Amino acid sequence: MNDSSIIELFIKRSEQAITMTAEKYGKYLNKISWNILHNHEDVEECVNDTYLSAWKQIPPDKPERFLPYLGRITRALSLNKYNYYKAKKRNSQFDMVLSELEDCLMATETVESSLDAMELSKAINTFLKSIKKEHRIIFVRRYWYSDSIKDIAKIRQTSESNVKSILFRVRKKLESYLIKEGVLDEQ
Amino acid sequence: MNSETLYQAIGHIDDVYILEASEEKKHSKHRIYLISTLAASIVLFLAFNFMSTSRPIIVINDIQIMSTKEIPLDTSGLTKGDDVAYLNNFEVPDQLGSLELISQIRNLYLDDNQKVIYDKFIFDYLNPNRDRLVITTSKLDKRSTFTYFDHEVSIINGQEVLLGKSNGMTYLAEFMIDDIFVSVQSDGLNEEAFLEIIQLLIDGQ
Repeated sequence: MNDSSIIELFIKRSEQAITMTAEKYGKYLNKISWNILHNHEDVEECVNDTYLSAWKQIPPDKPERFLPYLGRITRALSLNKYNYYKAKKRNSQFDMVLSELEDCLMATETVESSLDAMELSKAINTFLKSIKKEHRIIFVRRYWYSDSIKDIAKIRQTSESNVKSILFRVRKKLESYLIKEGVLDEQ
Repeated sequence: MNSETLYQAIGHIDDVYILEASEEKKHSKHRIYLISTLAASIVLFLAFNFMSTSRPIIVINDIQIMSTKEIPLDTSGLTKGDDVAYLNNFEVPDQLGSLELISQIRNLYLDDNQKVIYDKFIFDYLNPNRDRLVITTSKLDKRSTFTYFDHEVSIINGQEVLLGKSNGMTYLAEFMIDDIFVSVQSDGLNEEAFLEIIQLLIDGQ
C-alpha cells in the first residue's frame, strides 16, 4: 500500500491505518529507536507511541513524506526515554554518538543561549547541501539514524575505518562552518 | 550548547536527506548469493524447529483460549497461581543468579473469535549493581533482533542458540523452546554471567 493510501486511512479514522503503517514501517522505526535505547521493551513502547501519535496528529497533519514524518516522532520519543533513563543506566553506543558530536563543540566557547534550534537546523541543512552525497549519507546515518559505525560500513559497503575517517572530517567541516556562520563562537 | 542540542537540531534536517540516507546501496552479486544462502539456512532451521517440537499448551491465568488454530488448549488444572507459567512448557524463575525478577508485562490480544492475534510477554530482571536482563517470549512473533546485529550460532546443552553482542556490554541470545521464541538481552552483565543465565534458562525447560 502506498503512503498516500495509508494517510487516507488515518484521515478516515480506519484502524487499518495503524496495521498498515506497522507493516510497512515497523522495522524502520524499530531500528531508529533501537539505536538509541537498545532495549526491546522500551523500543516497542516508543514505536507503539509513534503509531498513537500519528493517529492523534493525522488529521490535521497530512505529511507529504511519511517515512521521515514517522521517523522524527520515533526519534524524539526515544530521545525523551533515553533522557529519562540515562541517570539510571547508560547506553554506551548512543553515548558515543553524542560524544562524537561534542567534538564539533570542542573548539568553541559558548553559543548564544537564545540560538533558535530551528536556525541551527537551517545552518546544518545548508552545510549538508554543500558536502559530497556519500559523506552526507554517512553523516545522516550516524547522527540522525544513530547507526553504529559497523552498520554504516556494512550498508555503504566500505570499511569501518573509512566511515570513521569520513565522520571525523565532516564533523570538523561542520564545526568550521558553524563558526564561520556565527552559530558557534571560536575559543 | 551541548551535544544533545546539536543532536536534536540534526533531527530537524530536510526530509530529502533522511530519505536519501534510507536507501541502501545495491549489493554485489557475491553478497546476494551469500544472503540467499543464509536466508535459506535460517528458513530451514526455523522449519526444522517448528516441525520437530511438540505442541505446547497455553496456560494464562484463568483465561482459556487457543493459541493458534492447530494447538488444542488444556483446560484442566488452570489456576490464578499460573501467572508466570504462561506456557506450561516455559517458566521463568523469580531469581536468576544475582538478578531478581522485578516486573512482568503480559501483552495478549484476542480477536472476536477468541483467537490469540498477539502474544508478547516481557520479564524484566535487575540486580543491585543495576545490571539488567530482559526476557521476551512469544509464540506468534518470531522476528529476530539479529536483523540489526552480527551473530553466531552456538550449541548450549544441546540447544541451538543465536548469540550476539552489540557495542558495550549488551549481549543478546535467541532460541526456540517448544515453538516459543525466546529472546534474552542483558545490559551490564559480562559474557560469562550472561552465558550462565542462558544455560540456566535452557536447563530449566
